[in-house]
Amino acid sequence: MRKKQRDERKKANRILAVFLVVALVGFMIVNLAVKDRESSALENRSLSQRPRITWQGITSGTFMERFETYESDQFVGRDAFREIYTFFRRVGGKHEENGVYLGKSRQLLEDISVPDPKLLSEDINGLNLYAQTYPDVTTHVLLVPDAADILSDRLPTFASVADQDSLFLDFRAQLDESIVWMDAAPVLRAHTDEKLYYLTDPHWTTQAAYDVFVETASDLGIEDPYVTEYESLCATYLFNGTLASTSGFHLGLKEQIDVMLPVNETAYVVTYVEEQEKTASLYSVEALDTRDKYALFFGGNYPLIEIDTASEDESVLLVVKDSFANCYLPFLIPHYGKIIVVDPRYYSGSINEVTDTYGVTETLFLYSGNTFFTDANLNGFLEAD
Amino acid sequence: MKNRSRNSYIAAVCIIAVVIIIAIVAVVRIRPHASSSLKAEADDTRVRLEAMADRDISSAQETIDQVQGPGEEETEVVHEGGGEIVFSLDGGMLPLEELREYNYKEIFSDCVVLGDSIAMGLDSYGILNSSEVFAVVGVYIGQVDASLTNAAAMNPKKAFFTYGVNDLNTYEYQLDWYRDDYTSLLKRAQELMPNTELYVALILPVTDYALSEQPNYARMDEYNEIIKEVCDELGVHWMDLSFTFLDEYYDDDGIHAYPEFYYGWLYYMAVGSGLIQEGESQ
Repeated sequence: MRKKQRDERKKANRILAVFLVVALVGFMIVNLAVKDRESSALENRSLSQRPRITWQGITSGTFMERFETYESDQFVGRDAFREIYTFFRRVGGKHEENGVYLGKSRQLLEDISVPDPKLLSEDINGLNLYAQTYPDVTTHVLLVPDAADILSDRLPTFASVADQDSLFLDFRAQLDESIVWMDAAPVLRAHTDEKLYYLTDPHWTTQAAYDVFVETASDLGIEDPYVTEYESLCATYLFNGTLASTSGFHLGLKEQIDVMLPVNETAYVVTYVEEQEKTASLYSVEALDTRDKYALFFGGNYPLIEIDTASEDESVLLVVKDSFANCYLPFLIPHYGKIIVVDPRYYSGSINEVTDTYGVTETLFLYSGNTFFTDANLNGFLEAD
Repeated sequence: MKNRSRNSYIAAVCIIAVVIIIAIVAVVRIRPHASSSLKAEADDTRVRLEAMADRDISSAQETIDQVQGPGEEETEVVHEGGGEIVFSLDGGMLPLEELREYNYKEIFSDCVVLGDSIAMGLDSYGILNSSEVFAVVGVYIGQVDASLTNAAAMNPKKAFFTYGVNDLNTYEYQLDWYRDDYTSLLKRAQELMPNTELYVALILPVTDYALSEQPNYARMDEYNEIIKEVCDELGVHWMDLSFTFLDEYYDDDGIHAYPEFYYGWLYYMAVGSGLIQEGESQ
């Protein structure tokens, strides 16, 4: 009787030992066999590669460190293990990961960024100086509130974020009085029955951009924003945005990106100046085959874009912007003869140079609150040379 | 005692198994099924967007030109059918301060300048936009097909060819080869840009110092003669802008130019091609 029990236990132990060895060796072999990946589309970053063995690397310990990050980046099934990890964090009541909140109704929300006071005051000085240097050019500022502000009721219970409304209010109060403030927040608040933000991405939807365009068009001096009719069309239903990839929440959630195409189109030509390319389309269809499907609009962000239009209007609009503008710009085409689009994160010239070169008659600064308050590149662009 | 420990062992294994199953379920979540009508709509939209991307920019450009009007700067092309463009420099060359007054980025906005390191200066000194300059450092005319294709894709109204200095070192005494290659360059340009007015700038002179360093430069005149003949044969305009290269604008190597050079070079290029009227103020 006793002997039998002991035998059984021995057998169980043996099975366990074999299983352990198989698991260890198996993972090692699979890890060696599976080819390393250059980058992770899911995490939107490049992965570390196998470090080279050098004597110096070994004695200083950097080789071991690098090898460790290499192994953890290239470990087989990394994506699945990450998802299991966030799943357990969610089950365990964790509602925030890398500055992204897991909100109600499947909404992911980026934390509200608070500006660095020094950077912000430099930006304000730059903006005011620009408005004063060019009194004939009307300067407009359109800051788009972020999802955590407009959809704050979807934040997880007990989560608290900075009050973006008061950040905007403070900022606005310091702007030169000649600068026209375009107020997007009330428009968006009045439309919360629509889908204003993507669930898995920080950007506003095409619908939200359209709402803000038509309801603040008078600030831009546009008389009839309804002059062009648009039809809203689904361009993809397989979008999973960057909030999902940075947080690991809702990686399986697919959503829709719509484009609004004009029924009667105003002809235009888009010139990507530094890329030396011209096209007659605002949309880059190839982006739909990549993970970064929001790049459908203009193919992403570029230093300097010129849009020549067949609009009767002769004014030249300069748009200084971040990626939020990409789905908003199409609505401006019927209303300006020429639109110059600058993304100061990539453009190295100055605003005065652009304004003089193109004979700019109106300027629009269009940013999301979060990017505007954390941007460190606008300042260099605003500096007069 | 032993039995109990075995039971708890089995229990632990069971718990781990359950946890793993939950995890797997979490990973393999049921994907939301897009309705087939949504898929059809996305496919349709894609076809429409692809059609937009494939549109010819020249027809859009025509519509824009019609609406915006031909613009004051759009002057008649003076030299139908090519040939030499002569500058009447009665009052001498304009002084630098006046040449600097002009907004060359705007003036050349529907034009392209093709060339080598000298033309590259237009872009690197910020005198023209990158979309107006198609230059590659060190090229000779047999190597420029890619620049030509890229420049043609901009659908320019006028294209300026400013190659030359590297050709002297490449072709040396083989003037027939040079003639053949220049002919095929311009023929290819005419084929790729049928609606573009083509202008060729003759090879710019080098200093005596550069000549002493590189004797190949002594054939400059013979080369320029060939360019003139090929242009005349193919009905392409040519202009001699050597008068804009003042002695003080030469860099130490006696070939390349200081930024000041470019204002006069572009100004007379613009005047010669009718982009601006001589003496017309900005």
